[in-house]
Amino acid sequence: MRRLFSIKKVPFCAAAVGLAAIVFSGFVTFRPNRIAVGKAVFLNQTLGSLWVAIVILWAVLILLSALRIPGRIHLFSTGLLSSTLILLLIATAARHASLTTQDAGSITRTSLGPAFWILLFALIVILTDTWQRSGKEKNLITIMGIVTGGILLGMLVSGDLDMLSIMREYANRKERFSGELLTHLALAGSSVGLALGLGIPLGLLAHRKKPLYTPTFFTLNTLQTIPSLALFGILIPVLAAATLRFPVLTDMGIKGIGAAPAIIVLTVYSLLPVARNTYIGFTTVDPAAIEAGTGMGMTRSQLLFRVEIPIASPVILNGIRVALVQAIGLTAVAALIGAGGLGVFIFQGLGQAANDLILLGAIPTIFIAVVVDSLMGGIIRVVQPKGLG
Amino acid sequence: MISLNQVTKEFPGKIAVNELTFEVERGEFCVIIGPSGCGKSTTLRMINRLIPVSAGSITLDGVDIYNYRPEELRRQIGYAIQSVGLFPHMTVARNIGIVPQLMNWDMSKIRRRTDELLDLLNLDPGVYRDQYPRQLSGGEAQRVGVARALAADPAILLMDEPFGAIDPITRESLQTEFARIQKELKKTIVFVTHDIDEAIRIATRILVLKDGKLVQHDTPENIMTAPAGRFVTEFIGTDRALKRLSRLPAVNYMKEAPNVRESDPLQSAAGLIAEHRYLWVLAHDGKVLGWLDENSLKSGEQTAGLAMTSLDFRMSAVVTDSTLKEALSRMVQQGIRSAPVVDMKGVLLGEIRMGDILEA
Ligand SMILES: Nc1ncnc2c1ncn2[C@@H]1O[C@H](COP(=O)(O)OP(=O)(O)OP(=O)(O)O)[C@@H](O)[C@H]1O
Ligand SMILES: [Mg+2]
Repeated sequence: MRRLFSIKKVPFCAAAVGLAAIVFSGFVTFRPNRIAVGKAVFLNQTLGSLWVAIVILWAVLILLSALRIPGRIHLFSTGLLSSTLILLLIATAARHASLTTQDAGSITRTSLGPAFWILLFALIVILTDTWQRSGKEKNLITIMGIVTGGILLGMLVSGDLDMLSIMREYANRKERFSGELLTHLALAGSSVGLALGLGIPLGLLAHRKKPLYTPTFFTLNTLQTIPSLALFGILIPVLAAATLRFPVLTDMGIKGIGAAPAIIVLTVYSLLPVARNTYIGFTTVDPAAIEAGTGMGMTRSQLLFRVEIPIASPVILNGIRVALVQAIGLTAVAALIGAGGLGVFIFQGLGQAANDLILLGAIPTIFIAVVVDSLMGGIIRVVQPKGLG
Repeated sequence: MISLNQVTKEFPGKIAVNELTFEVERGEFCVIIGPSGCGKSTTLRMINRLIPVSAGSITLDGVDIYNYRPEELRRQIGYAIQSVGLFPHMTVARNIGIVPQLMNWDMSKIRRRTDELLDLLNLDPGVYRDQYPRQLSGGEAQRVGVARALAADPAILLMDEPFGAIDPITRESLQTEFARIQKELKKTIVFVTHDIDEAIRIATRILVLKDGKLVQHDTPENIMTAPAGRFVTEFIGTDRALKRLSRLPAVNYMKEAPNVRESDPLQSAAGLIAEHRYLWVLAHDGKVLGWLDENSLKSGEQTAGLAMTSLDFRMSAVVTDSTLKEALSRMVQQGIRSAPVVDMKGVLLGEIRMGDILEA
């Protein structure tokens, strides 16, 4: 007789942890006002009866991770179930928020609690695991993810989530938010752009002229180990002194605080992944291919553009991907020296002990990083020359 | 056509090529041979300026190679190396077509040329055209490398151990094939190897190098019959008589072969057997089927076909483009003192006798 059970470790553990979270921690937190001490509200205490669906589906999820079910059906049902659960979690919290908060003028707050975050995290782990194991069905699971994202966006736009505390923080700063979001993107984007302009030639140079390799990468590695806060701190007096010495800099808008030092620091950090991957990318080109190409009469630039760059491009793009994700995260810190960006909300929230304001800065930052990462992953898969890899 | 005059290459602390002077005539197949590190590759790379000369001069048809732009020079010269260096992100067809493409040939011409070259090197275009280098075996990759070097139809080819990774059997047929291609296309080839058998099989002239210096430059025959000193003698090895046979085409030693048809009555063969000791028996279309000797006469059968000892021409016969060395090895293998020479279909053309080989 075939065994009935076959436990899939990752989904099973994640689902079990989720179950414990439901039992032992609050799903949402209720506060009489924005910064008061909160009171935990457990899942079964949430208003509206959506929580029943969560409990039932969670049980199914655990069962699914333990039963022996053919691969494709299992992948598909786990994917569908997890996506549905993510939407349900958010809907339940939002519904509870709107039922407890009678009107927009009310000062009571409903924030997402520990159980919510743990459940969400467990579902993301399960989805990632499913995606990784999905092989040929990858596209199907990807589409499921995109549809879920779309529904979530719909909920966000339609105002269903408006009564959640984080959305109320947003409502109070609508204008500011879109401004800082753009600043964030501009800071991260321009510094990675600069890092490309500097890092790619640097990596190529280190490849062509081997004696330059050690000093170049010694410097870049060392810079990378300096904590970002320290680097920001160092630049304030340095730039301030520079502007005193050369007033033109002030005319160009450069100050010890603000965008200029932020872009410098972010560029410095982005330089290493870009330069290193450029170097590695060019090193993967077989020297025999260069010799044969040169011997057949290809010029330096023909070799560079037709042979070396195409072969090195996937590795270089991966470096750019790392630089982008890293810069998007680090830009949040740049708010400390007055450069703006989503970090502004994080530091304001920290100052006011308003957790939901911190989240208003943190969640979009993480979201942008994840989207950019998967976008770059997609681009790399598409441009990867067919004969490689 | 190619002429080196007192060419020296000095690397830091090492003289790789020392005052080398030699000439390669148009249409010659010049093989440079010598032990590892004697400067063969360095010599080759100086001809297409991958390595600058330290002293001396190299001319192509009397023009100093340093009068050309390097790319201009190199496009007149095909180049194939042992490590091949195919471009991994391009298909076989695009690899072969790269130089024509740089020279702005039109697409249909490039495509025709590519298929033609794949055919020439015994790679089915339908199978290989769209494959990527990582899908090829070492030997296939080397053949594509050679095709790529031939693509723009350069008058000169430089080849640095281009058949190194190919198995001995394919290698031998490729060498013979390539020697034929060279004669047909009238290319001037400078070919580096450290395999003396390869050199003897394909060269019109062999250049023996030792420690960057020229030791002997002569035809394979002369090198084998009159090696210059101990170094060359040892390099050729003890079986040089046998090696010499690989230079001699079997057809030149072919004699007329006595034969009867399989349907002929056995009696009619008796006279010829008495005269020749044996006869080849042919089918009505001329294919070799077997032989008759005195013993067959005693069999009492009616026709030659019934009395003969049959043979498989694929095993025992010598085809027209074989060398005497191959003919000899067939005879030794099969234990026969004469072998029929046949065309591709097995039709008898003549025979080769052991005695003639030993006198050759
Ligand atoms: N770029 C270089 N720098 C320094 N020495 C070199 C360089 N290239 C070759 N040599 C030296 O020059 C000598 C000749 O090298 P070359 O490659 O011409 O030998 P070869 O005859 O082709 O040997 P092989 O049969 O092993 O390929 C060797 O001693 C080698 O170490
Ligand atoms: Mg060599």
